Formats: sequence, structure tokens, C-alpha cells
Amino acid sequence: MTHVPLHHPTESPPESPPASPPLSRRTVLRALAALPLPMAASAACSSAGPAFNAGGGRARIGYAVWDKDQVPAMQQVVDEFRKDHPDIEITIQLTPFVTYWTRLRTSITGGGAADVFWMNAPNIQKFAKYGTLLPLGARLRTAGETLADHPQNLVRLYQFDGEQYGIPKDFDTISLYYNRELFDKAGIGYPDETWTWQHVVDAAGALRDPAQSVFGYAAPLDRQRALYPAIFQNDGWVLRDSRSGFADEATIGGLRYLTEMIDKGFSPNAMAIADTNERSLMQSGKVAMMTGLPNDANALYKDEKARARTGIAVLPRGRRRATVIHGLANVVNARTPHPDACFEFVRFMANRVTGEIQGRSGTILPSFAGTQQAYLDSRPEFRLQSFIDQVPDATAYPASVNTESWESMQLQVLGLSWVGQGSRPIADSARLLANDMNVVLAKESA
Amino acid sequence: MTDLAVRPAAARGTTATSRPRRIDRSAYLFIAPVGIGLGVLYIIPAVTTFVLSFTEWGPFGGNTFNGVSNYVGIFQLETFWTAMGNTLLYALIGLLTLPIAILCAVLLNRKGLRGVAIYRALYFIPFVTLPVASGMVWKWLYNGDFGLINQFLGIFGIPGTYWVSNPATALVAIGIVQVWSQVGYYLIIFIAGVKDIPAEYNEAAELDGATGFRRFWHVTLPLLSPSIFFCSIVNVIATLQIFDLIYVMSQSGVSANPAFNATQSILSLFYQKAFAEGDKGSATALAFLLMLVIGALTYVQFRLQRRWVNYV
Repeated sequence: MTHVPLHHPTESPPESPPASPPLSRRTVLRALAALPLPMAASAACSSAGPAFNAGGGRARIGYAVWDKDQVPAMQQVVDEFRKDHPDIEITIQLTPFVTYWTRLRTSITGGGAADVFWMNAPNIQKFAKYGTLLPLGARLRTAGETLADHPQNLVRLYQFDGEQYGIPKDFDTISLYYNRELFDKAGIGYPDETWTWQHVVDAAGALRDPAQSVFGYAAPLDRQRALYPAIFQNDGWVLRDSRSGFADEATIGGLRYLTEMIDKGFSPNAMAIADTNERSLMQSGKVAMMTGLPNDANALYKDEKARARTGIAVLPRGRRRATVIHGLANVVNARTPHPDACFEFVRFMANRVTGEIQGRSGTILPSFAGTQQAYLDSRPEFRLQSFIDQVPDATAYPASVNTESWESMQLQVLGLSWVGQGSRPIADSARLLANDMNVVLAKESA
Repeated sequence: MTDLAVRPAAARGTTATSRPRRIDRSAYLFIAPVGIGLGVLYIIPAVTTFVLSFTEWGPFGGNTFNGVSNYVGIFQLETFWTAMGNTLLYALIGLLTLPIAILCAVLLNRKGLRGVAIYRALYFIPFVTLPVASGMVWKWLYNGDFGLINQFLGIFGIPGTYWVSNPATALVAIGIVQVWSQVGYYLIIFIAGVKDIPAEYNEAAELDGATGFRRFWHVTLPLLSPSIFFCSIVNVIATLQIFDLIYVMSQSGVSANPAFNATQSILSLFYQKAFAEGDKGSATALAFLLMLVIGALTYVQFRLQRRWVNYV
């Protein structure tokens, strides 16, 4: 994790210094001084020009990621990059998502964090605000990189105070998953782009089969998969000018679409889903329709029975057609000793080659326009194209500086309206949530 | 030592006050091993926590003094009062451990009972099992659709519920697991306590015609009261700090459990503030408030003991 930029006259790696000329006292001292303090070392060598190729030396970059499934593709990207940049060594550092952010925050505070790392929407503004990320705007302009091939709302997601801090690498939207067998049995046509909320409600009622404990629809208390798409489809909003949108009638209407499914008994309530989540219920044929991420296709695809009967369609329209879009970005640590090398790397990852490698791996939908075909081809039985078709209608994932503090409130406050008949009216919960959220947001902008 | 005692005596009249001070100094040496450990591991962190509770933390370290606003913020927080009420409820349910443990201890002490060691071990196993592990297993037992408990109830036609996801039942469901996991520990203490009661008392009571229950009520219980007192102090302190069972059973995952708030304890709220929301200032304030509550309840128990604890 610590960077030891040894500016040796030869190409030999730092582990094996050249044998013939004995090390001078100065060299040794300099190397020792560089050991615990990468910052000091970078300051010392900045006068010597770009760190990654000064005097033929090497830059060693750590690249932190959290998804094990994507590591092979990322390694391929690194190998491809190194063909043109043999002087930049890149080590992929895998940390599971549950500990990723704690570890990253701690290592940024204490030193020794990775040079380049994955970023998501809830965290970007906090990291940018506290100056932990390298601003990329000027470098992108110099390099003539416009990021025009990535969804623009994703590009904007990684801006803060007018500065670009991250470059999108992939994306996801939400689509409707449905069980063909259950639809066939009930004699209902499959969902398609003509469907509205009313179609879903009617179908959910017809598909509900209490004797088999089959539910027509799943309305989980899940912000990205269920709450946000429904809110946006009803012209509602979550966050605007540091204010919460949850007290808005349009927002409440979107949420009510979901809670009514539960109140009518068409969807399992939040207690049932907390015990056994809707993806498992879908896989075991107990739920006829659910809304989900591209990744949710993985488990359904692995299960042969589920694969044969699962269909995917674009989300039905409410007042309008809408979904939520989110994607990860690559960002650079502001304190890296090798800013130039890091920028070269993230710039490379903003291009077609990286998109194509990611797509081919079948593990993630790349954000570079036109590189998704390989991803679609990896699962021909599923209509994954639905996720791409919805990009023009998608609203960016809402985020502020302290996203996590108000996100953790959402599920707790709304939960009491998610337990079916007799639960707290959704309008009451939503207004309570708006109040709580506004307190956090006010503190944030103060 | 003698020399310490003699010298001030010789100097009496001139520096009368120096005598106790000199004796004190040597005593510090003897309490040093415990004192240093206590200081480094408990007192200094406690004082630090108290000081930090008046600061606001940045997400990447660094803190600034912000007066009592952490405390004001906490008192205005609805979830704090819910959590406080829940924590007291957990403590109340936790106290059920004691009568159950006493009953088992008395039953295990009956003359002629075979395999006492096996029973003791069986009761003790839940206590030495990791709370996270037993929490996971219980979560499955409680599962609304596939759990064994509901399958069992179904045989008698009793409708079950989503025990740990239903706001109405989750706290009690978790409390039961807490009791289940603690009984073994107190059982061991009570078995020793019951054994310590001199046989003559029971024999005398028997001669006077006292039946089993009356003997238990009028002889065993009063003589066991010092153990009960100790156990209730320890038990209340332990359950006021309940966290891991809650975390595993109703708050893990994406926290979409409707019973999330209904099961929230002060310590799980602390965790949420410190690690989910990154608000370490409020979290330390919560920790300090919890310490005050524990101190207060322990003090009350000590005051009340005069009324019911019989030291032989």
C-alpha cells in the first residue's frame, strides 16, 4: 500500500538493487526517507518532472475495487493499459463492499490509501468536499477528453462545485423482471413497453394466488429498485436545492403505488421481504413480477429453472416513463504521489477498449456508448437491452454530501407504512421523513 | 513499613499532617497494577469519550468543539427516546433470566438427580456460543415463511408471524434469545449459592412442617438473596448494552426491516450514528448518556438492596 518511488538509474525493481556499484550513503538515506512518507517523496521528486517516467523510473499505483466478479475484467484492462505504459505498475486491491468505505475513509485519513479507486453516488460529494479527490477537469480539457460517450447524467453525478472528480465506468438502471410461467397460467400477456401502472396492478391481482402463496408483484422497501423509480414515474422528486422531496404530493403518490400493492395483498409486505427477500421469492416462483438491477439477473440466470421462465421488460409508465440510473466511477486520490500516471490510467478507462472488456466479461454494463453488445450477448435468453433502452428516460441517483445519513432514515421511517393493512398512512410517513431529512440537509448546507 | 510508622511519631508536634500522606504514598504502589490497567483501559477512554462528545467530527478525521449541541441534537431525536425505552424494556425482559435460572438451579440441586454435570453443560452452551452465531440460527427459527417455530405452531393451527420483522413482536423475540443465551451463566452462580445454604436450615424447616414450596420461598430465596443481588446488577448492566443480537436479527442487510426502530437500543443507535452516519460526536454523547443510565440504575439497585438482601 505504501508507495516507494525509487528513482533508480536502471530498470531493476526496488527489491533487487543493482549489484555492481555499491549503494552510496545518500541513495540509501533517500530511499529510507521515502519509505514511511509517500507525500514527502512525491514533493522531493516533483521537480524532476512527471513521476511515472522520470529517469526511466516506475510509478506504482494501487487500484481499489470492491466487486470480486469484476476483478478478472479489471486485470485485463490493466494489462491492456500497460502495453502502452510499461513504466506504470498497477496493483488491484480488492476490499469487500461491506468494509470498503470504512477502510477507504480510514486509510485516506491515516495515509496509505489506494491511488485510484471506485466511487459511487452516495459518497462522491463527501469525498470531493473534503478535498480527498484529485480534480480532473483541467486535465481532461488538456487531453481533449469530453466524456461525451458516457450517459451525461452519470457524468454530472461525479461533479461537485463545477469540478469533475470521477469518470463513469459502468451503469445500471431498473427493469421489470417477470415469471413467464405464472403469466401463461393466468392467461395474461407479458409486460412490454406499452404497460402502465394500471396494467401492473390488474395483472398483479390476477396473478395473486393465496393457495400457492404466490404474489403478483413485489414492492420491497428498497430505494434503488423500487422507491426511486416509482417516485420519478409519478413526477415526484427526492432531493432539490438541499430540500427533501418526500412531502411533495407527487412523491407520495409514487410511494402509494407501492404501498397499495401491499395493502391489497398483491405484494408481500416488508416484514415478509425482510425475512426472505423478493429476489429469492422470484427465484423460487413465489413472486410473478419484481423490479431489479442488471446484477439481479445473475442469480436467476444461474438457476436453470428460473432462467427458462424469467422475462425482462422496461419499467411500466406512471405519469411518465422513468427509472433511476446509477453507475460507478473511477476517481484519483488527491494525495497520490503519481497524479500524472493515475490520470493516464483513469483516462484510459474512460475509453472504448475498457468498455468492451467490461462488456465481454458479462459482469457489468459498461457506460461507454456502444460497448454493451458483448454484455447483451452473454445472456441471450434475457432481454437485457431493456436496461439500455431506458437510459434516455432515467433520472440520476439522488445524492448530497451526507447521503448516507438521510438514506438510513428512509427505510426506518417508511417501514411503518410497508406492513400492509393497518400500517401508518404513507403520506404521514413521507412527511415525517421529509422533516427528518431536511434537518440533515440544512446542517449539510450550513 | 515500621520505619514509616515510627518516624512521623518522633516528629509529632512539628508536622502532624505529614503522617497520613506518607502512608498513602506506599499504598499507591500496591494499587498501581490494577490502577494503571483501569486507568489506561477504562478511565482515560471514558474521559476522552466525554470530551469528544462535545466535538463534531469530519468524515476524514479532525474534530471541532461544538458545545452541547450533540446532546441537544440527541434529545430532539425521536429515535433516541424510542431507543431509550426499548433499552429499558430489554433490561426488564433480561431480568426474567434470574427467576428462570433460580428455578433451574433449585431443580438441579435436588437430591438424587443424575447427570447434573450434563445439564449444567447444556445450559451453559448458549452462553459460550457467539451471540452472532446464535442470532443467525434464531433468525432462521423465527423466519415467518420457512421458520421452524411457525411450522410447529402450524400443526396446532396457530398462525405465526414474522417474529423478528414485525414491530409488535421483534423486541420480545430478541429479548427471549437474550434470556436464553444468558440463563446458563446465572445458573452456575445460583447452583453454587444454593449449595452454600447450610443443610440445617432446610432440615429445621422440614421439622416445622414446611412443604417444598414454602421451604423454597422462606428459606432458600432469602438465603440466596446476596447472589440474586449480584446477578441482577450484572444482568442489568449487560442487557443495557445489548447490541449484537439486534444487529444480526433485525438490522443486518439493507436495514429494510420494519422492526428496525422497534428493536433499536441505545448501543445499536450508537453504532448507527458512529459508523453508518459517520457522526462520531453524537455517538460519543450517546455512549456517555448510556453510562449515566447504567450508573443510575446500579445506584438505585444498591440503595434498594437494604430492603431485601439478607447477608448471613
